[in-house]
Amino acid sequence: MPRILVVDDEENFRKLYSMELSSEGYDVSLADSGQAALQSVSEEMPDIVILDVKMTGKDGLETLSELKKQNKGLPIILNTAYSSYKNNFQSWLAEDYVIKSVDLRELKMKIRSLLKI
Amino acid sequence: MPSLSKNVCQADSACDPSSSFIDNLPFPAFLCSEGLEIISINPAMINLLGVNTRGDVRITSLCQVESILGDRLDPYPEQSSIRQGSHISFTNLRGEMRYCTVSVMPVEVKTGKIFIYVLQDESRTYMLGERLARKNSELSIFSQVVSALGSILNFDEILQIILIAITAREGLGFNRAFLFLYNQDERQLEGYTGIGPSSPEEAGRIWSSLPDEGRSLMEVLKTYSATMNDSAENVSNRLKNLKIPLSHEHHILGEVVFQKNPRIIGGAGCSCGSECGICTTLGVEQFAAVPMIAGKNVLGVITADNFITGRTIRHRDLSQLQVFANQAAIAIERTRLYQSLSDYLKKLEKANVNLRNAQEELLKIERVTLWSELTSDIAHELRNPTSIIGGFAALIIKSPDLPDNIREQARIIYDECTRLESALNTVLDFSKSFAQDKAEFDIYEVVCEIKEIFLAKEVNRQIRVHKPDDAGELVAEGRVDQIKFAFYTIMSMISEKVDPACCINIRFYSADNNVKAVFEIESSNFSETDYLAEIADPSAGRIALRMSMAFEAIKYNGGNLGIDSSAEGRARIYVEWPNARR
Repeated sequence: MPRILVVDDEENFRKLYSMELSSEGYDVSLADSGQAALQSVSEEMPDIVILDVKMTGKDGLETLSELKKQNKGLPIILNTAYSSYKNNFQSWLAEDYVIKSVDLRELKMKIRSLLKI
Repeated sequence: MPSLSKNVCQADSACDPSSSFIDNLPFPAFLCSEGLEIISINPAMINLLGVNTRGDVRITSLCQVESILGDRLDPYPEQSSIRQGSHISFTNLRGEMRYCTVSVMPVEVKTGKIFIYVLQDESRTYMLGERLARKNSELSIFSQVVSALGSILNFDEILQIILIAITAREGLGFNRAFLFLYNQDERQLEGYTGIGPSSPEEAGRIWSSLPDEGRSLMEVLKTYSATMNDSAENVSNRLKNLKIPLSHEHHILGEVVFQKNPRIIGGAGCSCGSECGICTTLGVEQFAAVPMIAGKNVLGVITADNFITGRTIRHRDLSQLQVFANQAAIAIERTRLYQSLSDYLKKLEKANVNLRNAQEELLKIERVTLWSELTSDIAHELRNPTSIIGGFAALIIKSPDLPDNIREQARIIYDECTRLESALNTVLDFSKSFAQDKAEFDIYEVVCEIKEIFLAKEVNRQIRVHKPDDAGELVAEGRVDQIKFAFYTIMSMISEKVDPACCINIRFYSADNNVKAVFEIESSNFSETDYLAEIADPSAGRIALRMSMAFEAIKYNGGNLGIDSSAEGRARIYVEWPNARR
């Protein structure tokens, strides 16, 4: 069962993604900050990370950079309400970029694509 | 008046009155008999009458004297117009004007009665007085000219005053005056303006219409402006085509310009001969030319002549003319300075207006940018809760053991969240487009592009585009993405409001320096009120919000969006911009 780490400072997003992705058969773990995500990854390597960008404390782009330093091969999807981060070259480290939406089909499709399921 | 009685007494006591004692008197005098024959006449009297000394004419009777003086000199008071100390004026036999005082005194002598006539020649005093009066008048005019020039800054008005002062009888009294400006680059004098009659007939007409004397400068100017308008225009028009090259170093006018020397050209003693040809050009035998000097530069030359009267120009006239020319030069220089200051001031004012406009534009852009950033932030903030609500609604919908009414309610929540997200995307797209720079675009091409995109989604909608062959270029300027957004919104709004079977016609026009796209609906039951409601009331729904934004986007890009009616009375939406190519 592929393990997905969802990193978002909004609890309801974490809950939504947890329920939705769990219902799709993934093993979902959650982190409420960039720091917590780094900790989680160091303890148990996920198969993929869904990472929010605009977070209090360590933001998503900084966390992305550090996660990639820890494990270059870890696939990471940036998931944000802002399309403008696409223009930030730091976001290019991520494997994909999905705008948050009511419709989670795009996100789930990208996950399957990266996990080659 | 000499002491006549004393002289006569001496004569009576010491001399024979018929003798030539009066010959020695220093003033004009003669003795006349009772029979009115001249007994003796002294040389001073002979000279006064202008009789030549060769003795061709002998003065033997009082009648002869009277015929020259033009007055009765009869010694008997009842028959004479002459009284003691009477003033007379006459033209003597040499053609000279003379002004005298005449006295007559009867003297008893041995042979009977004789009359002693004594005249005092006051011609010189009189002429000096006349000259003084004339000088006074000239000085008065000159003073008024200087005073007027000091307060006038219009170039042509200044030149007119100068030229009128030169030609007015109260001024220098020349018949004509011309002003040539020196073109340094072409090294030539170019006729600029002139004043004066072009023929004796015209001169007669003008001069006879002028009042005699005692006029102020302003009166003179008014009279001249009224009477000389046509002729001045004729003279000026002819003069404007006149160009006098000064490439030849010894050209007579070249000397005036380069050596800054006033000259009387032509007439007796003129050194230029017929080579310069200026006299021929001006149609006179003699004219005066004075340089207009300002600082070290010669601005031009004023010429003046007596084209009609032929009066000889004297050096005294020349120096007076130079005084006027100097004033003209100073006034011209000051006017040019004023003009350049005025131009500079206009440029400054224009720059100031541009700066103010730029500041306003900047403020507007800042305001719009701020508004767009704010909108963007709010949209982003709304997107998260929308996604969460919609996401959970989707999860609920998927739950297997759910009552139908709950599932239906969850579906409604999901649908509304999807719709809200779509509106937020629109707002975000719009905000993003403010980062663009303005560029030229063809309104026709943009509409065609948007039509294709629109029809990809609304496959059943009919849209026809009509561009007349003579519409020409339909180029406007703006931020193309915002304009595309606006057109897309207009098409969406119309499409959502009207029956799917209706065709949208888009017509293009280029008129009154504007380019215009007009949206019409065939078989429309779509009223202006509906359009206005959609545009003016953002609370009316998602489309209304987008229409308001489209309206703002068009206005922000220098265009205009409005509603009018076709000839058939159908409501139409038009979008127009200033044509960027005009």
